[in-house]
Amino acid sequence: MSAVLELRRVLKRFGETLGVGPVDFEVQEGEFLTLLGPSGCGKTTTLHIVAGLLHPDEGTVTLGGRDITRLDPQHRDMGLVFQNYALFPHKTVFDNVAFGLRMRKVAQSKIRDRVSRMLEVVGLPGVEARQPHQLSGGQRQRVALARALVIEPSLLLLDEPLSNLDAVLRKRMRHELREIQQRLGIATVFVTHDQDEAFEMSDRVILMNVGHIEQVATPEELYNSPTSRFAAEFIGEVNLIDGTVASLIGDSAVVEAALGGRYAARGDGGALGVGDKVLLMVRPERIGIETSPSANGEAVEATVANRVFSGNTLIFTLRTASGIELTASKPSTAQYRDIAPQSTVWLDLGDCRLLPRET
Amino acid sequence: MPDSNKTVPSAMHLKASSAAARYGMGFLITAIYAFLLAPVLIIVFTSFNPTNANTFPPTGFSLRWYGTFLETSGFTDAFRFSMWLGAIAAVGATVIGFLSAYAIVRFLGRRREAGQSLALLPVMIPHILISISLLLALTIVPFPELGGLIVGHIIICLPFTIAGITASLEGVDEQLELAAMTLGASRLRTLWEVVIPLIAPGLLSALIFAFIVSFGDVYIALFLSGPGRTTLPIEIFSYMQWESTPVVAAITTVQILMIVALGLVVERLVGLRKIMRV
Repeated sequence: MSAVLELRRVLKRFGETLGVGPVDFEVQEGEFLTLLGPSGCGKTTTLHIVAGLLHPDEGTVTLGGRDITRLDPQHRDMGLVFQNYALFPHKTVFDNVAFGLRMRKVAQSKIRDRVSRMLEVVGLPGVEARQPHQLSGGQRQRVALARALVIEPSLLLLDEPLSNLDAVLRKRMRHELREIQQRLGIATVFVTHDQDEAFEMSDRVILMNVGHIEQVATPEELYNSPTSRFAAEFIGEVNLIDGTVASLIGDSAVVEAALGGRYAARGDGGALGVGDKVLLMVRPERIGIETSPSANGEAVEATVANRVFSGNTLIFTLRTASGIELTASKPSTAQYRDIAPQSTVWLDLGDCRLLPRET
Repeated sequence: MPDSNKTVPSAMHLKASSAAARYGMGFLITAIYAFLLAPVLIIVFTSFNPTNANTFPPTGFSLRWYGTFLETSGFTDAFRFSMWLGAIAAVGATVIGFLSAYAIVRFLGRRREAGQSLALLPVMIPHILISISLLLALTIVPFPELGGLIVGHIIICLPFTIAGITASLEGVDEQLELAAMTLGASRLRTLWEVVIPLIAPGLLSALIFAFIVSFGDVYIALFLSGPGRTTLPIEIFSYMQWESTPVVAAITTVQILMIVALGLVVERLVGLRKIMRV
């Protein structure tokens, strides 16, 4: 696999404030890469730099080995789908989709074929003569996608394309978008603030925060092995427990935790020393709840402070003897339904992750 | 309320007073319109006078002064020249106005307010001063007088075209332009393919408005139109210094009709713009 797009030390300021950077990443052939982060994290700025709508102050952008840092958007060979679709309201669907081909001086007869074929790909055959305002939100989205794809760009850019759709349609479009992307095998950069979208669609996720890259990982790695407190808290629910490093073995550490007892935790222990303050991370569904103390006596005793039923899961709020509150989610099966509030339980923290404690 | 001994005003009372207020307001508005339009109506009626005198009400009905207008080459030449000048000034002011408005809306950023105020400055300066300045400039720069007249008219039309086109451009989503550019269109091509079609009604009304402003101008033409190139208002002005017949009323009526017709077109276009925005 080779990189289609590469960003090296790219940095962009808006006046005095830092927009983004420096960021480094590359997009592999056929890869679906997501820029994920809260609003204002620089993900859209990064996408606009890739598309050429903004020029970076520092760094280089290369597409297929060619330096395009200063190239105007019209020469970049990328298809961009905007959040509000940005369909030309005065043109028919056909003229919208055909626009990029006309700019490339493709022969009229070929344009007709390619437009109708692309409308089939996005699941909207035969709407060529309609006006954009006659289409539903989902249909406009597909036309915008067809318009970006018909020029056969070397890179597809998607700027929160699903956020204007209703919840049901949004879920369906996730799968369809991913399916079309895989069928065409086109390298794609997708921008979203929605973690579920990022996880369901992406090969890799770049998590961004206040202008810099927090972590680059597959969705699974990002969920299971976050490398920072921000990453752990941004993605899914998480319990964070204060602790102190007691001993180090390679990448793992034994941590003296604030809730009493010592726990082995995996993580980036290389930069740590004995005695350093750290955080232990446990996902709520990884906490084991037992109604009797375990044989080896390692389990933590806790009281059920609250129990919330949310369909297929039960969410427990547990208070340990040392006063620390933990959240655990368990399937709402008979085994857990019987655990009443105020009862005493024993917790197994299982696999903990080691996180640096940021000040 | 005048009767203050009534602590709770009855519903009837409220109704009566609001009805009175409504009639009062209606009367006031009618009076204002009558005041504004009366001179125009008087001119229109006067133009049908069969005699030499500008009497109102007219002593009969005749179209002889319209005939006189068409037979007097001084007037018809001036009319034709005003039309020609208006067309050139309107096109010039609309093209320059479009480019300026586009720059103000898309490129000025935070300095936009300042740019807009600066562009509207010629409305604040008395036209006679613009005229004198241009006349003085012509004594320094070797430039044909006709050019000075055209430039003067473009200057007085520009604030109107810039203001109108700026308003139209504000309704165009910048993302549409960015989309066109990512699809391979240059900035110029984007203007032609996306921006201009979307603000076409605004451009047309700017064109018409500029034409009306140019056609009605006296001050610029007063100093800058030479012999053989008199605009209609100047021709009327010099005619009235020596003679006074209802032919002036006839010419004015023709102009009023023209302006009303153009005004209706603008009205239709502004209505159209709402439809175009989707």
